[in-house]
Amino acid sequence: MSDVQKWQGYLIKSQGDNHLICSPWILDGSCVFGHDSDYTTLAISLLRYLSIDFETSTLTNIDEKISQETLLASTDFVTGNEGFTITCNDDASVSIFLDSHNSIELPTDEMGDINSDIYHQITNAWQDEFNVNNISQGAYVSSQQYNQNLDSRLSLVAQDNGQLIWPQRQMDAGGNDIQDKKIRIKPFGKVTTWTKLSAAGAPSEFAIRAPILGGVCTVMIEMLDGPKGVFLQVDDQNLTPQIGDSAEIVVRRLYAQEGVIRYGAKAIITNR
Amino acid sequence: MLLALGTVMVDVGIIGAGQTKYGNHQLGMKGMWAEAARNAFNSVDKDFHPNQIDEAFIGSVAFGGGQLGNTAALLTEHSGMQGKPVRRVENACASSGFALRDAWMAIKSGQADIVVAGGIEKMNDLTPERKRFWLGVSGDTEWERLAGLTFPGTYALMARRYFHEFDSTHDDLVNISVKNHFHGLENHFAHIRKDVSFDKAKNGFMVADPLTLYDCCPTSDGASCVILAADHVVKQFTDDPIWINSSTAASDYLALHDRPSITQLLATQMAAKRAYSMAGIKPNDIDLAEVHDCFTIAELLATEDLGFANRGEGGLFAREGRGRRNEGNTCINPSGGLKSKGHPLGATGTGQTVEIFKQLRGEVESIRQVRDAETALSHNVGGSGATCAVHVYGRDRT
Repeated sequence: MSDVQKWQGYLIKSQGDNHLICSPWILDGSCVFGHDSDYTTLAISLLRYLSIDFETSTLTNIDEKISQETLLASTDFVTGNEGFTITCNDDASVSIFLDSHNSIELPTDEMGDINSDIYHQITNAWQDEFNVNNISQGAYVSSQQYNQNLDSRLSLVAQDNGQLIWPQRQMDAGGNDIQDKKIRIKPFGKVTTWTKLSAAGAPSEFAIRAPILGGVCTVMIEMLDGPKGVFLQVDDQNLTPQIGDSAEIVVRRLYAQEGVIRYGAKAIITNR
Repeated sequence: MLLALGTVMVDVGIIGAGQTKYGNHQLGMKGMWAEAARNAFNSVDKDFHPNQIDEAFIGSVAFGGGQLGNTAALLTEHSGMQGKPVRRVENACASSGFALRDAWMAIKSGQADIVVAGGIEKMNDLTPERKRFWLGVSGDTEWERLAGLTFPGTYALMARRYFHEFDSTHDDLVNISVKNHFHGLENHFAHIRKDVSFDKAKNGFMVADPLTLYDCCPTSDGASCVILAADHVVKQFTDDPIWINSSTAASDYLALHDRPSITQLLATQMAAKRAYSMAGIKPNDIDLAEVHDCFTIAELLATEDLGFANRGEGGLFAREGRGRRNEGNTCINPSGGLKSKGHPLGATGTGQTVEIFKQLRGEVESIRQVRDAETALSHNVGGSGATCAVHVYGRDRT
């Protein structure tokens, strides 16, 4: 269907001021989330999609199933009295509208089956990981430390100090304070190297899900704007990267710990 | 400043060195340290007592968290060093390489005459689950770890990029693995003493593509201890000291993505350049080198960064077997390196020095002896290259 857009690993349909974003996966006739997606990641992608064409960047209502803090840190949208309402549907889809909500049918022709066994194992694994008693005993990123770099982590906000600095730093290489000017780098780049760690070699944060996924795949990306970064490949892209591949940086779930889901930037290979 | 310190008229000699066997130890930390210290004390040729020690620097990551604070005080009270100024030195896998440098500087500065540098790590008493929590604590936690990287992954990124940029394949890493297992076969202190064929190493279990199990060092328990002395007291203890002719170190960005290149370690290059200059020698003067091969790609890069091979020719160096014992100009990792001898993180740096002390004095197993060894180098790297300590040793002072 020509009105369906493939966007950041999801599908988007639009009718006037109504827009629907959904997971591309079907299980037993229902639209279900990919292995590292949820309502928050869908909502972020949808707002980023709308940011291309819309001047309106205000949200009046945000469904409580969506992490508002993560959503706002990942996009240019703000909350206000007039603007979009964003709601979560019963399946793995999110709707956004300005005045009235018109139901948009899922683009089922564009969707594919997800492996049932892996889906159920991953769903259970997330529940185990989300358990408040799941506490790191070694390397550990506290919520405070994680949140201090939220704009870098979710929105790729860099410092413009003559050259772009990302992730952000306290001082430059010469020991000088860095100018306060900030810029969001474009979320596109090229794969410069990659690896796939076996489940046994993956960090403990991924210890529960890595065996199910067959390991974790990490790519180093040189962004088109210059900075480099390392990112996990999205969990539901079953594609072996190659050096030189084009990639887009999106937001997905990284891991859960102590009852909190940590979101972060991940990479999708886009040229194949 | 560093070079100026190196030219102070006090020279520093090694009068004793010892270690435990590396591997899975029944001994706890106190027992392992005591064994390494006892072996070091007993290796001193003339009368020596630990109460003669002025200072001690003990490298350890404190893996597992069992004794994160005051590690050195706890350990040294079990080796007759109560009352001495001691401290733990931490720079990831380069902890005791830096402990050695701190000990060297303590003597160079004139503040001490006899100083112990050592290291220890107890890694294999943890459950697999708890051990996994502690692996990868020395990278840029906030960015690299959350991108799924532990050190096998970090070095795998380097390896794949190296193969892309230069004329090299995984087979070159296999050659390094085979060589180091061959070197370690007769080392009675080594963790993994087995001959490994090319085919077996090439087809090992994939840990972090393209690195297999045979590209990765083991996690080891172990301790090592080295006794340094100022030149004016060396004669009291031995007529056959090994001199530390240079001690240098450098650092780099912690995260790979912040470095201009990931196919070379700038910290190694900077430390090596200063080390050769301070000792007044060139890379081809080195008869044997204990280099930090936590992964085989790390040894390949080290052969270039230390100047034993030209940039981009580390693969060729390995392919031609130029690092094999008594076959090339410089024997690389005669102990078996981290790959075979083992890698008890905090103990590794001074463990390299133990091997060099014995090699230069002709005291290793005869089959392992590097012929006519006069000059040696140790290269100890922290993490993926954020820290590096390089030392040059000689039978003679330079």
